[in-house]
Amino acid sequence: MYVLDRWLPTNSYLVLTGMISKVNYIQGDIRDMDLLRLTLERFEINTVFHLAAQPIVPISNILPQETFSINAQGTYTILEAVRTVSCTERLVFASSGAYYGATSTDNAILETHPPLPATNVYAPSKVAGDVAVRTYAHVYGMKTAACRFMNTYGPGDSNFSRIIPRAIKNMITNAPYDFGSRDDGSSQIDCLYIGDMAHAYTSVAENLETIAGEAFNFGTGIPTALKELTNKASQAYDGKQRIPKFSGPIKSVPSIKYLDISKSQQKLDWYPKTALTEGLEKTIHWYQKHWDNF
Amino acid sequence: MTTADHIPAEYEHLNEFFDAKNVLVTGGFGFVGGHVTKRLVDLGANVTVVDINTDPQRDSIMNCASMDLRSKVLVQKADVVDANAMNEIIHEGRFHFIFHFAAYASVIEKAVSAPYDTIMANTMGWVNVLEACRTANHKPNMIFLSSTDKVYGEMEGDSYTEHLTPLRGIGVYDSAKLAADVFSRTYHEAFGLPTVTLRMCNIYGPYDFNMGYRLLPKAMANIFGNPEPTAPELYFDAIEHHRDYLYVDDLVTAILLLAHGKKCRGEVYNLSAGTYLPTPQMLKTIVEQAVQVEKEFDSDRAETILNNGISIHVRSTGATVHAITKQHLNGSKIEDATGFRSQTDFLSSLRETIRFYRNYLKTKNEGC
Repeated sequence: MYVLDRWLPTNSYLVLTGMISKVNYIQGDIRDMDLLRLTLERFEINTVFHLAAQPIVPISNILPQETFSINAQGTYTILEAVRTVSCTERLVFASSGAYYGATSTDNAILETHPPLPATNVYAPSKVAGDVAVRTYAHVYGMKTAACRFMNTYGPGDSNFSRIIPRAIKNMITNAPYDFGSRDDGSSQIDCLYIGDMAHAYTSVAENLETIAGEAFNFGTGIPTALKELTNKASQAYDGKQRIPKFSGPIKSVPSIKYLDISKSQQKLDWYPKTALTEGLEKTIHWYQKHWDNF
Repeated sequence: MTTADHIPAEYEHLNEFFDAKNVLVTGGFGFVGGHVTKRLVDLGANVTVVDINTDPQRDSIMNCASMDLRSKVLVQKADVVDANAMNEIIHEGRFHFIFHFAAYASVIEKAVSAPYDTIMANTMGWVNVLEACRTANHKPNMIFLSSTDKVYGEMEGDSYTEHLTPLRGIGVYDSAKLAADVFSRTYHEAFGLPTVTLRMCNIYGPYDFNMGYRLLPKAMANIFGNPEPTAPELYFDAIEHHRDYLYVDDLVTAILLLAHGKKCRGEVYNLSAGTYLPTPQMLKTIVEQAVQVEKEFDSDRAETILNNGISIHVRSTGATVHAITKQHLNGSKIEDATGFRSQTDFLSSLRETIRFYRNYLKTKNEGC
């Protein structure tokens, strides 16, 4: 295992779990073509999991150039490096449900749904990577595929702008159970546990011989309203009820966005295994154990 | 004299609109960018042309001595992938209108052999233009992206429609253009930038110097490029292809109408074509019209061109080069929004184009 990243935070999952001693860490930028090619050849890398990204949606609208540079150009660089070295055969790409853009349906979204424009730059930056990854399979016969996820949660997430880390942080620090003005709490999202996500990536990698060039949706297939989600988090934390505060503009119709996962179930035999309550309990436990590091 | 010969009476509102306006054309040394530049110069605009290759020796309408376009515009040599260069040009230029044509490899074969450069130029090049506009103090009135019918991918029904046909382009060039197409509409949604996206079909007309790849220029090189004409080649895999064709003057009018129309901002349009033909029939028509043109000069040679016909050529490159089978754009949206319709007679514009190539290829050493 070789891990490439621009830096290794002391509170990263690999460090806190001690797993860093079992992998080789290489410091570097995915837009550095020379570094990528040399690394792939030198260590005879067979499979690349490309997860590096600027993943925060609000930041994408403050720093669009940087977001495109990392998410789009970075993916192009990795694809071209993989294509032009001798040893690397497979690549699995972390795409996103954001690929589908500002959808209007309340139904589960299928992989064939086209990419629509969005109100944030993160979405088209993922369109750019997703379509390029599939193109390299179609045009060059490479074993590449894209994984589209919605909301993922679990141990190791240090992005506290996301709803579940934010809820847990509020509770651990005894802060008000406040979720700001981004939503009114009615929006329904699909939260996938990180362990199920990791399994999704390896399932795709294992099946690349037959599924190259395709995209796969992953999630639980069950949308949950943000208010209900924060209630469940509170329940899982200490059995108590907290009233979540959402001060976003009231929506006349709640937005619902979740992915249809039947293709992944049929073609990859992948199923989400972790129920929301169980996942929340594991996540809370992990943050409590490592809170000194945050 | 400058404008009346281009613009029909119903588009007269365009005549004054671009006068004394600051306009940026990226990729202005290319085929379409060059024609847009020429029309804008004719209409009195102050045009800045950005291109990665501004060599005076490059075959381009910009370098034709007879028109002297080069001296009528500001030429800036820059790569659209260079974010700093694009920032500087756009921040200093205070442009009213920006037309983005700069692209890499608008032909499949070139894109397949250089995917990284193709994808970078078509996606990050456009991001750099959008970002420079977003951060500029002086915001342009309109930012135009030349997109392509290839963003749709394989056609399922009779034609592509902007808001009903999903974007499924999967080739190197196709998917890069698809991403750029989504970028422009997102920049309008997220930042209010006045982007206009036009999905174009195959364009023909004089001054297209892609002699190595594109159907018509390539056929012209076969027919007029050597003392003895040879048969133009049709790739075997193109026998089933159908394509939309539009004369370049019509395209320029369509683009200027979109730039003029305030309600077009943030929208995406299909270009309505003049002619929809199977590729073999298009190539046969080119040969027939070349025969007509050649008859005016040398009837023996015309006879040879006729007898040569076309030849079918099986590609050795194999499965890596896959082209979409049928492409046909529904053009009712642009017609409703701007009144645009093709004004050109197909056969006479084709003959005019052929006359240009005949003259150009026979007097190549003298320039154009």
